[in-house]
Amino acid sequence: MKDKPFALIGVNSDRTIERAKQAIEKNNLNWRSFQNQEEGRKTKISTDWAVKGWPTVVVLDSEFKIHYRGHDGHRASEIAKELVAKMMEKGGE
Amino acid sequence: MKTALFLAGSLLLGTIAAQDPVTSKPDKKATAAERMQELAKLRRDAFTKWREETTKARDAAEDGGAVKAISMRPDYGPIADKALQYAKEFAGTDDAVQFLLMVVNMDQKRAKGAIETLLSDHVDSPELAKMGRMLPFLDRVVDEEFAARALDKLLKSKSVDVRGWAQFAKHGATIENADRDSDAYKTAKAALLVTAEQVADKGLAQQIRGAIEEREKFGVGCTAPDIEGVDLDGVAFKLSDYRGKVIFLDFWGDW
Repeated sequence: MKDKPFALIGVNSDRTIERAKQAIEKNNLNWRSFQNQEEGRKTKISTDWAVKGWPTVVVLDSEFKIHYRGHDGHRASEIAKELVAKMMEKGGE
Repeated sequence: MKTALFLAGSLLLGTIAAQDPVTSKPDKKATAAERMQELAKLRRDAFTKWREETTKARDAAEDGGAVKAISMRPDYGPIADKALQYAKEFAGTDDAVQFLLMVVNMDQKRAKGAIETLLSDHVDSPELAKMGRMLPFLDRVVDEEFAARALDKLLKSKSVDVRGWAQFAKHGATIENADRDSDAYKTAKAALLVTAEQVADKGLAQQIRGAIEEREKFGVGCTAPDIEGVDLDGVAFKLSDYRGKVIFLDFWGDW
C-alpha cells in the first residue's frame, strides 16, 4: 500500500510502552500508534471513542467519514481497499 | 520407632476423617451457598483437567506423535446434572435460579430444559435479570424459535430489570445495524430510551445509552472526531495529519 492514499494508525492500550514496542518488534509491525492514555491525558482515546471491545477497527475516508466500525479486520480491510481504489480512479481521471 | 509410625498413621486417618463432611456432620443439609461453592470448584477442576489434556495433545502434535481427539470445551455434563438436582432441591426459590443459570451456561444439551423451568417458575424473579447478558446469544444455545418465545415471555416479566434486559436483547441488533433513518431504528431507539429510564440496574441503563451513543457518534456515516495524542516514542501527532487519505484505525494491544 506504499504510495497509496492510505494510512494505518494504531491506538495502543498496552500497560507499558516497552510491552507495545516488544509486540511491534516480534510481529514486524510498522504502523504508527497513539498511546491510548499517555501521562497527563484526562480520558483514554478508547473511552472518547466509546470502544468497548478489542481489537476494534474503524475505517475513515479522506473526509473523516466513518465507513466501518467493528471487530472484523478482514471486512475492514476490504472496505478500506475499495475506498483507496475509488480514490485512485478519481485521481487518475 | 514403631510408636512413631503408629502415631503418624493415626494422624493421617484423623485428617481424612475430619475432611469428610459426611462423617463429621451426618445430618446437616448443605446450604445453597455451599452447594454453589461445590459446583464452582467442580467446574474449575474440570476446566483445569481439560486444559491440561489440550496442552498435552498439542505438545504431542508438535512432536509429530499421534493425537488423541480432545473436545473443544470441557465436559460439564455431570456437573450440570448436579446443578439440576440442586435446583430441584431448592425448587421455587431464588437459589434455584442460580443453579439453573449455571446449567444454561455450562451445558448446551441441558440448557433448553433449564430455561423452560426458569420461564415457568421464575419469570417474575428479579434474580432472573442475571440472565440478561446471555439473552442476545440465546439463539446460539437453543433454536431461534424457542429463543424468540423465551424473549416474549421475559418481556412480560413483573421484574423491571428482567424486562429491561429483554428489551435490550430485542432491539440491540437494530441499534447496531439498521439504517439510522429507518423506522425500525427510530422505534428501537425510542423503546430503549424509555427502558433506560425505567430500569433499576444502573449498569444496564448505561449500557443501553452507550450502545445508542456509540451508533450515533461513531456509526457508519458519522464524521469521526480528531485525535490529538503522542506516539510510542512520545512524539505528538494528530489523526487529522492523515486527512486526505483512507485511514484504517486499529485499537490494539498485546496482552
